Amino acid sequence: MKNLLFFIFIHVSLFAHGVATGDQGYIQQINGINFVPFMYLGAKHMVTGYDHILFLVGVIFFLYRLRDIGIYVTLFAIGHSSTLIFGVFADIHINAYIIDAIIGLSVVYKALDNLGAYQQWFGMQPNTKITTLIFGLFHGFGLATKIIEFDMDPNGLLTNLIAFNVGVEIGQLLALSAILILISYWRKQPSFITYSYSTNIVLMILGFMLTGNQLIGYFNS
Amino acid sequence: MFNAQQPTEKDLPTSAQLLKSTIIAILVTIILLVMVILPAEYGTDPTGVGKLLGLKEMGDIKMSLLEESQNELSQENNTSSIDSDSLDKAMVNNTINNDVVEITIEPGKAIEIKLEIKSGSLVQYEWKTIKGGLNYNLHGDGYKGSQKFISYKKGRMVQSDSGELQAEFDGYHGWFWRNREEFSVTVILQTSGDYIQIKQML
Repeated sequence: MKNLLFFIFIHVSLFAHGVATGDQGYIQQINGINFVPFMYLGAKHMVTGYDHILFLVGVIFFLYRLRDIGIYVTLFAIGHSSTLIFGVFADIHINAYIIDAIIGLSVVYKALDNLGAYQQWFGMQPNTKITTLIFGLFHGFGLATKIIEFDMDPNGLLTNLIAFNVGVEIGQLLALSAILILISYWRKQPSFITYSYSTNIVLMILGFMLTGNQLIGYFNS
Repeated sequence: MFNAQQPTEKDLPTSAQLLKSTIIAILVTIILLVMVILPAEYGTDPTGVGKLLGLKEMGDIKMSLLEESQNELSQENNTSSIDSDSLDKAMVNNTINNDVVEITIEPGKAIEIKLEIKSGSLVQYEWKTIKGGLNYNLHGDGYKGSQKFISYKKGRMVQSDSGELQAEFDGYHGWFWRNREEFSVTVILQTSGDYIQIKQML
């Protein structure tokens, strides 16, 4: 009942004079180039988007050399920046549920990759650099779908999009630094290797949950 | 068993390095919280950096939108009986109306003018500002409790608009205008057609 009331409240506040509140409300009120605000929104989206964070945890779970971390994070960034800008300009409407379900599967994929499942099952290791780039491309379509929903003003769109993208990278760096510090503490303990198997299983479960949740949303919509 | 090599002790950061990183992380968080997140989310800007970055405006707009949507919610709850009265009246007095309304909107403020229209009825409208642009949303709400909502037309920084409005359902249909200029904007609205009454909602 409490949830129901909450839903009604949100519904009304979103549609009172058809003016949205929050980030979306703000975006619909402004006009022209707003570099720092869009940078902020990009960073906020990344830091508060647990699907992107889970994938990053998977990617850097076994990486400890800064050089490797740099390479993988850059590949991921190249992937999602390209599809973000391309998706918005080509106005590609991929169903948000489908793209988020694929993002969930990317978490599952990475967890299995960490566990060495592909070597066991298929006797080969898919190129981790290429797969990181490909999943980056999918994550970018997710970001693009989000931006299209924001209904940004065409005036100054490209500059605002670039700002959003810069923000996404900043947010990613911030999230990554926090994850890295936590994992580094843990990596020094003997329990890291003991529990890395079960941790990746948990990561996989979370990935499946994200996927399942999005598929339910898709079939209910 | 894993798709990874075991790091050696010298590959890993030392405890002192980790402690230093943690302290830096906490400091960065505090700085971001005060200078970026507080202004952008709540319009609270203790250092003035938020205003410099243009983020305080974001927080201010968010807070005013939230306040307006909450006011609207309590207003809707109070006006339910009036709505059904005017509906009864509507069935008797449905004639052709003409109105001209002139209203001045302060910077940052919004007003809403609506026509009570029966489903399918037609209204001709024209509005223009004397100087400056307005963000607008031409939309309709069903009577209290109907949950109906439609947005016919939207625009940002627009100086005039005209056309014909055909109500999709019984209820209040009209304009929400927001002034995002630095100065007051006066808007003149002319309406003519088959509607019951014109009303300022906000």
